[in-house]
This record gives sequence, structure tokens and C-alpha cells, in this order.
Amino acid sequence: MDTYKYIEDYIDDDLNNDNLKSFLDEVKDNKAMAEELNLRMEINNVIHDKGFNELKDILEKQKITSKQSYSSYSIRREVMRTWHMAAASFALVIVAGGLWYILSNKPYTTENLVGKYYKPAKSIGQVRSGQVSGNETLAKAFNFYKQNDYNNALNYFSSLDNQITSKFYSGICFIELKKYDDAIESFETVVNDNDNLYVEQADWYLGLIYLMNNQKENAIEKFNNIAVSDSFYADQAKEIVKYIR
Amino acid sequence: MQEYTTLEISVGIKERDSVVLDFVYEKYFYQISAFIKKNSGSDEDAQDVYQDAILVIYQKLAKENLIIDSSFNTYLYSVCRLIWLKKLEKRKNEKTFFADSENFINIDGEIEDWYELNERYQLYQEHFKKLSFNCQKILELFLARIPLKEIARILGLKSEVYVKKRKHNCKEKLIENIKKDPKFNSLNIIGHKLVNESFKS
Repeated sequence: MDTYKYIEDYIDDDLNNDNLKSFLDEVKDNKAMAEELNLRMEINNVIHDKGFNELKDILEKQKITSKQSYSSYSIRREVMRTWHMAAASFALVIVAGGLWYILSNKPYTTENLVGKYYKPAKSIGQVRSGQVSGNETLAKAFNFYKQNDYNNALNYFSSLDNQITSKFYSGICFIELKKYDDAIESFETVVNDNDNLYVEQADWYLGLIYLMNNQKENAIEKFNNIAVSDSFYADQAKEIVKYIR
Repeated sequence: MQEYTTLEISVGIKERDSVVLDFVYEKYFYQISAFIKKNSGSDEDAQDVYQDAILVIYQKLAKENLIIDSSFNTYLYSVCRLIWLKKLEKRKNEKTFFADSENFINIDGEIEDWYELNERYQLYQEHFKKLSFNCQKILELFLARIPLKEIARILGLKSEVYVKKRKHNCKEKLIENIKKDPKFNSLNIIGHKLVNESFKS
């Protein structure tokens, strides 16, 4: 029997009495197996331990916020130190402005392009509950979506996996969570369905995800296709292709 | 800023109350930072040690019903001190001088065990978060003992057998990624006494 499966069956309570007894006997004498069992149980603990994961996330946010406020404090302090610095900063702004003007006809970086063109789709204004199955769930999902709580929004969107609306907005949530492969999967479902209101938008987001994910060739191909179509995004796609090259 | 007693802070940490956690950070972090920097550490080290200490205190509060009978400040400092000593030891820091900036208490040895366990937890969590959304959900739901049929319905999967297969693949992928991580070998996995002896899904 595959040892890993044997161990997982034990953890999942899937062994019958005979196998359970021989498993316990074996694990007593087999150090490598005991270590593997230990590792797998610890991993289960971590996945299951919402409290630990939640606290870790809070502390991480605290760390980032404190770094940002410390760095902005440092910048302020440095800038305020002498009027020489202020004058130098002013001069720097003038020079940087000039350089920007000179360089503004050069291609954008992919990051700049994403910043310029990507905006998360607005949520649907109102979802009436009670009339169509799943609308209550969708309403909850949009509540989280509006608060930029994409993880919780996804919990609800994904429970309506067969609905195109939820698929489309799942795609946006995945982008926001930087899970690009999942976002691609969601938008491709919407595009392949080809009989809904989100096709053009999903296609456009696919191009942007390729950019975010540094898949430049795929992005160019996607935007070229959009540019020659009668999509709402055709003009923007033409622009973006010009900038990528 | 509202003040909190040691008991209120303990409850706040146990319940992951972000207001209390912000208070603790605002009030005590600078002392920890000063101590770490005085003893060969950087700002980043101070942030890490502080975070590790709060996680250790959380584990002890949540799993061992810890009651802090000194001031919270002294307890936090003592935990951070122990963790920083441990980190310096790992870095094989030759520097023997260790300058304390606050009073500290001798706390039980299990702090080190919890710290090591948390190091592993953080590695596992890091890799878990890198799994696809569906893999994360399937493992979470499975470990929350949600019936396979219900998992299939929630995730739009075709059958219970398929859920089980996906769960297996996701778990194996997670373990493979963890084992491939260079940090994995430096972690002490063997025979840890704090592992729940009978945690089973």
C-alpha cells in the first residue's frame, strides 16, 4: 500500500480495525513514518486553526501599516530638516517633470499599463432576494465585494459556481488576491459561454491578467483580437498594444 | 489611547481583537525594538520577534489557558527576549554580550517549543495560501468535517469520489511544496510534544 495514502487514511479515520492495529504497530517502530504522520497532522492543524491564521494576518497588516507610517514619518522628517532640502526637492521635481515629458512617448512598463487600464468591475447595484434561487447568496457576496473583502466574497460567489455573474466576479476577486491562474479559469468560462453580458469585459480582463502575469505575448495577441472586434474595449485595446510594443 | 489591564490584553489577544492588538503594538513595540537593536538586531528583526512573541502568547492563551501573573509588559519582553536568544543562537552569533533594557521573568521552557511549532505553522500556512482557491477550500471544508456530498455541492464538483480524489491531490501537492522549501529542513519536525496527539480530521 502507498505509505502516504496509508497515513492519510489513518488521519481521516478510514482504516478498518485490522489495518488500524497494524498501522499503529508499524508507526511505533518506523521513525520515518512517525515523522511523516507528525508532519501531516501538523499541516491539518494549521489549515484547521482559523484563529492562528487570522491572528497572523492581523499582525502582518500591522507590520505593513507600521512600516508605511514609519517611512512616511522618515520622509517628512528628512524633507523638513533644512530649506536646502526643500529647494533641492523642488529642483528635482522640475528635472523629473522634464524627464517625464521627454520619455512620455516611450513604451509603458507593464506595471504602468496595468495601473492605467485595470479597474475592478463595479458590483451590481441591487440583487433582489427571494425571487431567484441563489440571489440571497449573491447579495451577500456583493456586500463583501463592495467592502473589498474579496476572500469572503469568493466564499459566496464560489457557492454559485454555475452562475455566470458569480463566475465573472470571482474572476475579479481572484485578480485582487493575485491568484491569476484561478482568475484566468473564471474568465475563460465566461468567455467560452459566449451567451452573456460579461463576455467583452471578461475578455478584456484576460488581456490585463496576462499583462499582470508577465505573459506579454498572450497579452498582445488578446488585445490585438479585441482591437479588431466591435468590443466596447476595442479603442483601449489598440492603445494598449501601441504602448506594449 | 484607552488603557487595558493584563487580563483585558490576554482576552483581546485570545480573541484576536485588533483594537487591543493595536494598543499592544503602540504601547510596547518600541521597547522590544530598542532591546533587539541594542543586541545586534535590525528593525526587521524586531518586527519578526514581536510577531513571533504575540503568536506564542496567543497559542499559550488559547491552548493552555495561560494566566499572566506579571505585568503584560514584562511578560511580552521576557518572551521576546527568549525568542531573540533563540534566533541569535541559530545564527551562531558570536557576540556574548546580551544587554537587557527591561526587567524580565524566567518563563517556562515550553515557550521555545511553541516558538518552533509556530515557525513550522507559518511555513505551512505560507504554502497553503499559495494553493489554488479550490484546493484551499476543499482542504478547509474537509477538515471542518463538512460531508463530502456537501463539499461537492458547494464547490460544484461532480461527485463525492471526485472530492476525495481532489482532496488527496491538493494535500499531496501542499506537502510536496513544503518539503521542497529550503526552510523545511531547518525546522525541527521530529517528535514534537506540542503536536496534538490525536488530531484527526
